[in-house]
Amino acid sequence: MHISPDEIIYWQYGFIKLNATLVFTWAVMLVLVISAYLITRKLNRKVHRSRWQNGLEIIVITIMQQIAEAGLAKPKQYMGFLGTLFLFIAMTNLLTIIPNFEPPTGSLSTTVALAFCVFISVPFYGIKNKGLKEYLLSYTQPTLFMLPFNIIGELSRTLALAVRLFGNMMSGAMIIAILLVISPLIFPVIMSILGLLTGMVQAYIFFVLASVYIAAASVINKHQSLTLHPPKPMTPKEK
Amino acid sequence: MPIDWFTVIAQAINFLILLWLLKRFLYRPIIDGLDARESKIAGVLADADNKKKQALELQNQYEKSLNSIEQQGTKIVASAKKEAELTAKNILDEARQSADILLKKRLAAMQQEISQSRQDVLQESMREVYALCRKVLGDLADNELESMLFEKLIQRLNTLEENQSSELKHALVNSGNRVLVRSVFSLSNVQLSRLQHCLQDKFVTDKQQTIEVTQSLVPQLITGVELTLNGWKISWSAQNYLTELQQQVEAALDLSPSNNNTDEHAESAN
Repeated sequence: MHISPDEIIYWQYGFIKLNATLVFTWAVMLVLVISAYLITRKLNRKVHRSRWQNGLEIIVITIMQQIAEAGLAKPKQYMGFLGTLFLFIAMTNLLTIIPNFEPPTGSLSTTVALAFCVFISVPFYGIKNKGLKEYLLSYTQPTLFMLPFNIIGELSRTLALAVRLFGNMMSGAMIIAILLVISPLIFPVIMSILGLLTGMVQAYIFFVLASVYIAAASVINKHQSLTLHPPKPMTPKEK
Repeated sequence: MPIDWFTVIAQAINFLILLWLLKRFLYRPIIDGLDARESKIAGVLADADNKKKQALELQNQYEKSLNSIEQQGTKIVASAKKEAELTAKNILDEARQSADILLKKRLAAMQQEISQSRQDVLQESMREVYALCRKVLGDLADNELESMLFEKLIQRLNTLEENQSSELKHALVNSGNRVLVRSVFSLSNVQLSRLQHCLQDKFVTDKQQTIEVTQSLVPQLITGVELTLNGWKISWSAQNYLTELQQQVEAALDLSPSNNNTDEHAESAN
């Protein structure tokens, strides 16, 4: 029994290795790209369209709505990055239903790579929307004293992203493997269904959190200046 | 839980490749298609709005034109009604007028017929009366009555008014002092000379001139004497009496057709 698909190595040359994580990632990529190509090849821009196209459009529109709900004003700008995150994780977790499929999200390397992409995208979009100075100043909010804590928060939440997804997916795969050994009939099926559900939920959580982090870094805070006037001296009548 | 950093980098690169591929094959075509459809739907909606506006404008125009047509129609119907009423009134008036005219004509004709028949009856009865009178007077007439009437004529000549006597004088001058005496029976020479003397003395200023008296017998006079000269006449005869009687009878009965007609006209006018 192996914990991570990284351990299954098909080919290696020095530090370059072809493990199950990469192979299955390419498989998921192929499924996504080929199905997208096949559906969008005969794209109909008129009112009447195929069911597949309609399904894809629903997925894209729903993702855009979720991005907008997270607080990002122009969802099309973030569609590529956040949509790909969701679709990749969701498709990976969905394909665990296939026997002998090793989900790449069950590898800490993959989740770290995805979390690293989010970690890079947050300042990228923040600087793009706010400007470098404004973005860097956001780390000193509400006071300069909070700067180290903000930096630690930035790093820890990225780590949490990676570990949460890895832990959930790895534990699901492990439970199914153990149950297959103990009771090979009904329980693995139920657990697979539950695994599918948790996989979808994890994909959604990863996507929403990434959206929220980017939104928090991108939204411009409008500071309101408050001028305090000294109180008027009291007149004898008021006394 | 070891982290394979080669795999991490490879996965990051894989993710970026997938991002590019999906952008190329999924998001861009889908989003472009959605945008195209949205713009098309927006265009269709705008077109529909424009058409709706145009339709509303057309509806308003048609409603206005319908209202104006209805008003015109009402006006036309009203004017046609008025014209028809006027025409009917005119036709009725004309019919009434023509009926009135016909009625008047008929009444006039009837009246004329009545008056004519009355006149005929009257004339016939008058004729009978005259004939009877003539018969009576003719039976009564003789030389003695004639001489009495001659005496009446002489008396009338003597008692003529101033203007009548001057007129007689003028008539005598104009007739060249010729006088015609008309009677039923022949007058005696004595009577003729008396008449001449009477005229000579009373109406001739120039005593050198003599009056020439000629006699003519006229049985139509029934009885009496008539003196005529240059359109001037003085008479005393039964014919005169009868004529006067006839005139008095006609006046009393008011049988003049002209009078009756004017009365009828006045009645119809009222």
